[in-house]
Parts: sequence; C-alpha cells; structure tokens
Amino acid sequence: MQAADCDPGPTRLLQEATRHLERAVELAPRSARYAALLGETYLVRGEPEEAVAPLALSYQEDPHPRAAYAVALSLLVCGRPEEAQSWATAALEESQALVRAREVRGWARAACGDAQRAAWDLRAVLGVGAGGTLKEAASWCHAVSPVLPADLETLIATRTRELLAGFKESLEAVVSYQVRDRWAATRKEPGA
Amino acid sequence: MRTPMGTDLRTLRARKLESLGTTLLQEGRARRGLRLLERAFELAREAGTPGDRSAGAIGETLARALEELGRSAELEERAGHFYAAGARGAATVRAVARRVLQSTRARQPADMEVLVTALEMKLLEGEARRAALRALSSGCHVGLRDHPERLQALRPLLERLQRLLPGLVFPRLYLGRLLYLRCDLKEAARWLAAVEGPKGRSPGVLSLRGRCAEKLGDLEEALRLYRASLKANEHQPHVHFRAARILLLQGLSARRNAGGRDA
Repeated sequence: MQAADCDPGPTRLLQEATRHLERAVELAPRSARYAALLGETYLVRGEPEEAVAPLALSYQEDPHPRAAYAVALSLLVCGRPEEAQSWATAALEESQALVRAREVRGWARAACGDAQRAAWDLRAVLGVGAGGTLKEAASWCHAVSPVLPADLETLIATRTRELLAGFKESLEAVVSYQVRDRWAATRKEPGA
Repeated sequence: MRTPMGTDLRTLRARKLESLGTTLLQEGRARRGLRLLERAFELAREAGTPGDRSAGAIGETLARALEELGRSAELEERAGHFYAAGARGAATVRAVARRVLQSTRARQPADMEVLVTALEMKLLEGEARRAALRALSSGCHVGLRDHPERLQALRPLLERLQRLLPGLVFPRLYLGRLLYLRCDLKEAARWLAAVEGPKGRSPGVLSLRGRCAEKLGDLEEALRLYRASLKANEHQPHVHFRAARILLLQGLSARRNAGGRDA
C-alpha cells in the first residue's frame, strides 16, 4: 500500500467528502441539509463559485440565516459584492444577531462604493455609535485586524479572508458537534 | 365472601366443581363433565385475584378435555379465554397458536407471545413451526420509526426467541435495531454485528452499524461501514451525507494540524 493511502491528506479527504455530498444532493435534491453542507464544503475548499448554487438551493428549501450568510460570503470572496449585499440582508432578515452577515454586508457595500451604508454596518459590527465616515469605520477595523493594509481594497480582501477562516472554524465546530459531541453522553460508561 | 383463610368461596366452589367434572370425564360422562368444568372456570375467573392461578389451571383441564374429546373447533373458540386466564398447558397453547396462525387480522405482540411460548414448549412442528417463524419474523419486526410502547412489548419476546433459537437471524437484527432506538449503542452494535449471511451484508444493517460506531466515537469504523453500505447500495443519500460529514471533519482537522496546508 502506498503511504498516501495510509494517511490521506486533507485535500483527498475533502475531495471524497465533496463527492459523497454531490451524490447525496443528486439523490435527494430537496434536502436543505445536504445542499448546505455541500456548499459549505466547496467554500472551505476554496471554490466559492461552486458553493453559491447549493447554498442558495438550501436556503430556498429551508431559509436558514447560516445558508444565506454562506452565500453572501461566497459571493464576496469571488468578487460579486452587489449580490453579496442582498444575501447578507436576507441573512440579517432571518437573524439580526448574525454579526458576521452584517460585516459581510458592510464590506460588500464598501466594495460597491456605498460608503455611508457600509460605515453604518461596520460601526454596528464594532459596537460603536452611529455616525462617522467609512474611513473611520475602516480604521476601527484596522484595529481588530492583525494585518494593517494600506488601502480599503486590501482591507476588504484581508477581512474577507479572515471571515472565511472563521467560517472554516465554525464549520469544523458544527460538524464536530454533530459527529462527536452530541453523542458523548451516550458513550460514557455507567458510573464514569 | 371469603373463608377464614382468605380464599374466595367461589374459588373453593370452582375447585370442587373441577374435581367433580374431572371425575365425570374419567367415567365417560363427557357432556356433564364439561358443563361442570365450564361452570368451574367461570366461577374461578369471576373470583380471580392477582396471583390466583385457579382459573388458568381449570382452563387448562378444560382445554385438555376438549382436545381429548376431539372437539377442536370448540377448543380453539375458547382457548383464548383460557390463555388470558393464565392457562399455559400444551392443549391451550397449541390451540391458541393454531388460531393465531389461521387468523388474517393484524398480529399484536400478545399474539407473538403465544407463538414464542408454543415454540418454547415444542408444540409446533413441520409446516406449523415454519409458519410460526414466518409470523414471528413479520409480527416482531422492529422499524426505526416504531412506537416505544411497541418496542417495550417486543423486547422480551425477541430475547426469549434468541435464547430459544440462537441460530435464527431476525431476532438479532430486531434486537439490534431496538437497542439502537433505546440508545444502548454498544449492545446494538454487538447484536447487529452478529447478524450473519446476506442480511448481515445488507446496506441497511451496514449503515445502522455505521451509525452505532459513529455515535460510539469510532469514526474510522463508521466510515468503513458506511462505505461498505454504499458499495451494497449506492442510492442512499443519508449514508453519503454521514460518510461525507466524517470525511469533512477528518479533512478539516488534518488541514488545521498541517497548518492550513495539505499534508
């Protein structure tokens, strides 16, 4: 047996996961769960264009804010900020508490040149009062970002990457909960 | 009314009538003997208190008499009452089992209990035994959406059947499913792994074993079983989904451990 067969790399594991999910969606096209996980897998694999359709399908079957947020993030990552804005708004309509959707909308608005409304969103994300300019909001974002880019475009790209990294972490946490933690109590030995 | 010893007078009278009826039967006076036994059974049943086995015992005497006299239609008609009153002798059980097997109505766990008892008492042979096993295989069926009450009634039956006929496949399969539904995952996995033959290699059993392994935290084994299940039948979206979830988790954690790069 080849060494690669004994210890498959993350890429191979994620590829196989994607193949299974594609088949699951093919067999059960109305399942929001399967489509959502397929879209999220594409997104964490770095294929945001591919992620949009299954995530949108999932949202259509079950309007969950996480799916709308994931579509918005995918669109922002692949440089379609106008569409990203409306999906982020959809996510916020489902749940006002989704801070990251507000941030995605803020950056999408900034990328579209809607400085005033972008500032409003970003200030809300940072928990500072209303008013102020996009430049001020962006500079606050500088403060929370580990990288200090020179211009707004670079800042948007940096924050998008960070949001994507956060999304990967949250996906791992969600799947880990579903596969491992949810059943941990069942696994405990009696009296343990 | 009760005697100073606490026995219901009707029970005493029933015993006397039973004794008399039995004597009459032995003397060849069948009609009168049966009538007295019938009366004795009714009296004992009316007086029946928890733990009192008089009615059951008299019922069995009556069933035996009817069987000896060749009055099988009458026996099958009455056997259900004798069984309900606690009669567990061969004549009663055989007659009730026969009736269950002939019946076309939907079978209940109580019907299955009669068949298991008949098998334990070795009262069914040949085609009747095969018919009973077929009836038990469908009547004790455990589905993953079954009502907990039904499962509770089926569990002791399946355990008795498993002890009686350890080579039989379906009790192991149903016990596995039942224990899975009750979240006794280790036991469920043990029973399901003991399902042999084509059933044991069926996609449903393999994927259920995979679910047990997944919930028990053995993700490698779960993945192996899901893959085997999909090899047997590829048209299982939920199994694809479950396999994908494990692969995704492994892939993401491997990537995190490799510092974001492919290993």
